[in-house]
Amino acid sequence: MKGKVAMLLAVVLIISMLLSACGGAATKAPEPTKAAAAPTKAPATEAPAKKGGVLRMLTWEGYAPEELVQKFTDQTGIKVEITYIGDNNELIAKMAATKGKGFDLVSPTLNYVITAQKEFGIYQPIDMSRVNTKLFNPTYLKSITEQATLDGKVYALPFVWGTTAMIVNTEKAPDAGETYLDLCDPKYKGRVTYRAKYDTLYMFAYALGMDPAEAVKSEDEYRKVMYKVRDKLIECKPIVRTYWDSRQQLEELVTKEEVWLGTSWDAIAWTLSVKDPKFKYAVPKEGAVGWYDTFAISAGAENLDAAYEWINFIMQPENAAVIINQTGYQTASEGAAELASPELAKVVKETLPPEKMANIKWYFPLPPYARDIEAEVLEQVKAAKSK
Amino acid sequence: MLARLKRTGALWLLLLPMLLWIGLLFVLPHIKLFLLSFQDRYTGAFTLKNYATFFTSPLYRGVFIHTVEYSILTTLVTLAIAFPAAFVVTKVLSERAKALVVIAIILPYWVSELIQAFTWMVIFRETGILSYTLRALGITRHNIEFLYHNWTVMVGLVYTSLLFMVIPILNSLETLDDSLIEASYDLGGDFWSTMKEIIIPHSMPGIMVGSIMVFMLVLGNYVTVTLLGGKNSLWFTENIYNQFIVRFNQNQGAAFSVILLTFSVLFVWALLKITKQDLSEAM
Repeated sequence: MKGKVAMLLAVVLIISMLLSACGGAATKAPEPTKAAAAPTKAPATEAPAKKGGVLRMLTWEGYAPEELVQKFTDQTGIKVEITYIGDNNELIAKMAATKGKGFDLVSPTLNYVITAQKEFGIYQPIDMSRVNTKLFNPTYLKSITEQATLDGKVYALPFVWGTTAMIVNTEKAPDAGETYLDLCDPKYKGRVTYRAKYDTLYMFAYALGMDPAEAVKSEDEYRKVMYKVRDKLIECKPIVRTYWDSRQQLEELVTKEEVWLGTSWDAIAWTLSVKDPKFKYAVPKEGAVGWYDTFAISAGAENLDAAYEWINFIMQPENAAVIINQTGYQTASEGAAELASPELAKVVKETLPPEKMANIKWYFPLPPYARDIEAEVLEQVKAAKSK
Repeated sequence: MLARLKRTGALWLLLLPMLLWIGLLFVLPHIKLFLLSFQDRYTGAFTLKNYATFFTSPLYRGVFIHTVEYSILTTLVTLAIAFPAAFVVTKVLSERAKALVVIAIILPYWVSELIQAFTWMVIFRETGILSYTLRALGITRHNIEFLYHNWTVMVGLVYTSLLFMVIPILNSLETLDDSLIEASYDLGGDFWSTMKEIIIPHSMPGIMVGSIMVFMLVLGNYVTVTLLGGKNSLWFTENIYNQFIVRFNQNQGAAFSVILLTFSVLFVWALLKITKQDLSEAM
């Protein structure tokens, strides 16, 4: 009996360790069963240029909805493997470790593209002749590709953009949302959440009357600005309930009314707002912080055809509209917004009217020292003790 | 047969897969880590700067001490829960009940640590199951937030490490002959003296192995502490993650990793010395 129990334990232990190891992996390949079954229904005559192969993407949650992945695989025969990232540093670290090997198409935020390319050489120039530029909004296409140009070569195309400002529960905190400093107001003690990430630093910098986009040009200046923000965040630490990390986490905190106000990506606030109007996306007087996510092609890409195929597929208005409807994000696809749901369009217009659009504080390119200062400041904020 | 195999050294072949595994996936990366930790981030030249950063920075030292404190505390709590459980399983329960309890202890490990942590969140959050139950029973009038405290992290950690404490103790207690316990009582010993003189000394190797495993696991934990921990529970592993992923400073991250590794090895060694246990005997 003794021996048997020990044996049983050993086996079970090993299995459970294996299981938990698998559970930790973030890579997810969509179920291939349906894709494999579909072609039998459609005879071979209907499939002229099936390219096949695998497209490996590194992207954000919601940027490749299952429905579209399925459609893409049905149309092209290309299988899609997606790895999700939670922030730009993670993306760069993953790519830099292998010089981009293992991924074909990635979606970095614009302000990280050129600096990361200079430092690590993880992307390759985009062959504009293979991109169906008619699918893009011309203004965005021009502006983004210009900002993503290095030595005359374009490294990124516009994809999805959005802003970060505040989400407010208008029943619990009707007065909040005029300034980011509300996140520090003792009357909301324990009912506030924000990310312990770069976007929060920028918001507080603007709220304290400083301009990080200007200061970033000098290391000393940027350090001064960020240290002031750090002191403020440490002073406000008793007010914040917890730092949020993922979309799902913020949604739970807000809808369960555990927090009344916090920082939020516009899309999260908008989709919650459509379901329940008491949640509002509030753009304070300092302005929303804006970001632009792009398509960039990995220097180690193995399936270039598939990467271009995906770009030209996802930017078609009816496909981009699926992303808008499911996630609430805005895209650079020309005509997609008109196909998206009118309820969503309404809250977008209400909370981000033209004058607030004009006041968006866009993310600025980050030199390596700036990234390091931000990380240092965030570490200090997280390590500070508070009630 | 065995003797002939021994002579030819063929038995060593059986060890080969494991040696390769450990050599390629453990020893080599650690050598690389060790070398990285002594290199300058930009020039690659030899430097002790990365270690100096740790010892001169109150931030990293503070986080490290917090991590060690809570790892020790977690180990003790796990031991306090596991030992009585293991004793009852081996000495009191019938064979049938024993198998059931052991399976009950193992079952949670079929779920990944990530899911376990999410489950704790569902239970502990302000609008969660525990808070709701307390209110429904009229014990409290308001919802209470149980999440984001240091003790919440500990509950999660104790849960994920319980098995690793129970099994070694269970094994060492299995070899304790019941007649020894009876003899102790016959000779006038009471419960406590029997525990102190007979049972604990006999199961000491199991206790040590369990404590070492749990301490190491907890010290190096990342998932549970980041999910259940609140704004005040920064764990040292998160500092390592930050250096590698956020600050792209592999060398600093390597130095932190080496410090954590060295500390845990020294700690275990000291523990074995103090309790006069031999590693080969304990294992």
